[in-house]
Amino acid sequence: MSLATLVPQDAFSTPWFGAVAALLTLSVTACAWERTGAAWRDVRRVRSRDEKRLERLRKEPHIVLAAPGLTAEEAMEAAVAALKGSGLRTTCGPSGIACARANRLGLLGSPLMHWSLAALLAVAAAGQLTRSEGLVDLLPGETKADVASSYSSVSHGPGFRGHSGLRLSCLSITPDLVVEGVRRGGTPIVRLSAGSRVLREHHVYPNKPLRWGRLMVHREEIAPVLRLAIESDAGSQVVEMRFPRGPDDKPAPCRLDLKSPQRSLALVLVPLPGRRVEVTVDPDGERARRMLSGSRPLEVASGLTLRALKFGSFARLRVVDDWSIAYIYMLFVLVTVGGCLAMFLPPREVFILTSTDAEETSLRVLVRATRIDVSFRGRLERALFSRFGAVADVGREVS
Amino acid sequence: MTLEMVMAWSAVTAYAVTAILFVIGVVFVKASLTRCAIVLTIVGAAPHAGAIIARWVGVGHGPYLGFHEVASLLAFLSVLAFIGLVAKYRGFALAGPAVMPVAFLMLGLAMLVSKDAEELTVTLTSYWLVIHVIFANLAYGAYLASFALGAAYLLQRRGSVGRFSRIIERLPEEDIVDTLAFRFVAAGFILEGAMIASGAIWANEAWGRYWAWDPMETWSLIAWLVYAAYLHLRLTMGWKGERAAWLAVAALPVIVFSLLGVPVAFRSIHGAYLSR
Repeated sequence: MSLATLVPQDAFSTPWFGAVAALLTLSVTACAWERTGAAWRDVRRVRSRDEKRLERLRKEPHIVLAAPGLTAEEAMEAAVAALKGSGLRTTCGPSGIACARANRLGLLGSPLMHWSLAALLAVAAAGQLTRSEGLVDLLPGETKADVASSYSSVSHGPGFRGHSGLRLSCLSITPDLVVEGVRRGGTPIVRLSAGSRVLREHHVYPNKPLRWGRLMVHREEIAPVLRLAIESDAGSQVVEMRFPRGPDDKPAPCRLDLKSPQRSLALVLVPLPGRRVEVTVDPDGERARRMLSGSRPLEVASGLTLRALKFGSFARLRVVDDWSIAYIYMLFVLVTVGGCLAMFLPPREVFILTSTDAEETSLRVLVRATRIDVSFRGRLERALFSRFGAVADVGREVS
Repeated sequence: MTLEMVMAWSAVTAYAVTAILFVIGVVFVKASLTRCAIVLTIVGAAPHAGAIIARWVGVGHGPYLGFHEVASLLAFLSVLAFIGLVAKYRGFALAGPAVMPVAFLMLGLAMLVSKDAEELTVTLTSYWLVIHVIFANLAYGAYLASFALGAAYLLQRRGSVGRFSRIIERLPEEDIVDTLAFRFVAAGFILEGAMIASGAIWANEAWGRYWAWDPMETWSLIAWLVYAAYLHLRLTMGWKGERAAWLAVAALPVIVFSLLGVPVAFRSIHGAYLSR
């Protein structure tokens, strides 16, 4: 199926859409900047000294647990076991504070994802501005250089720096290539060379383009070509007519205008299966349809005869020159990795301090979790509650 | 009738019966009927799986070409996800009246359209097809789950009194339902991003361009941005609880349209593979 089935989306190439895309890129960059700051603050908090934590635990803990009948060591042991059950690894600091952490790698996630996304948008835009894409038609045995004049149609961005000048050859066309049990249809063998040095050469079909550096060569289609002899009293001339696929996915008709001293004649030729061509004579006036087949001559007007010399095929190749593809792939991966880290490894920290007051042991707990993981504190409370049976929050006591 | 058709129609019948059982069981608060419905859902999923496998073996490719295969697989994955949720939290059987009728209709529709096997064309013969389709199915499944959880949360908030209160009480706590809904949106967001990325890479290999604003591509991106908005509203603006639940519910039609509506409404290179 050719890209002719795509409906051109003109809106996406207008300047106002470009402005919206630029705004999106700017927003993502601003988000990335803000997330990097937040992650840096979290990293600094991890490194901050025990004295600050001690003060915070004494004055403003998130959770206060009563541990009646337990010594400080026993209470701490039970708390550490509850934290282990919640997936946190505990270490004990010099000030008697137990510190439990999990998913520190997750701090990287959001900045990585947002910076990669901003970079992806920027690289994609830059790639589009410097990209070239066009169609090159090659007969079997034909060679063309990658220059503007070789293309039947080409478009490039304003920043495009020029074609590579490498040489593209179609060595042959395999009529119906079968690879791994799948029919690939008519398939050209394409060679890319620099002077006499062959850079790459293989069959080219969908999902197996020919790659070299920033160049990618795809098989757009294999289409009919007809070498036609036009014989008249004045002599004979040979023309080559190519029939690429039209918008309806069928070979497009070709118009041939013939002029002689006596008259002008317009012909429309449409290739049919089985080495036949339908010839419509004078399509704008009196119509007459004839069939040209095999090597039999066809008289289209008095003294004017057509003869098919050769029915064949040509390869239409889509040549894309875009340096940004590999970088875009890499950035896709980084966006996905960053997103996974951010969503599925939310960083968690818990600090616990035991204190004994009038022979009663209590634990003071400080919980830090990212905004992605707001339910962590509730889950931790439930886990501690199941261990100790009573949790007294700051400002709230539960018997 | 082939074995595949027998199994598929058995699944359609089972899903129809479970849909009825769930509706009666939940509306009239008959716990025994709800339990029967859960068992029958599992029983019905077995021949459905068999039908999908039989088709896979018969046509030589996975269930991702043509409406029949795509709808059948989606119905199966929805039922599977529902069974998984109910196994973890029994209270989610409350979602049965929503999930099973939809699964029944999707599979029933799949059985009524043309079941001719689509040939793997040269463009589709690539391992990227499998990667792209897996991520697509997982993403849409995750979004569907977030929709169901959002709806469950809203029911919880409104159903604390009245005839449904006994059923709603069996749901997990509100903050767990809210967190689960968020996590499924997050998972769906990552998976859909991977789907878009793998689709772009594959498009470049097959057609020579990674993005061409094809309607399917455009609407997948729109859906991704809608869920990005959900995540930002939740994480940055603090939209939790009821507001987040409403967002999760309202976002689903975008995804449904991007998967099922776009191939019908627009002429698209993807639509050729999905709407035949």
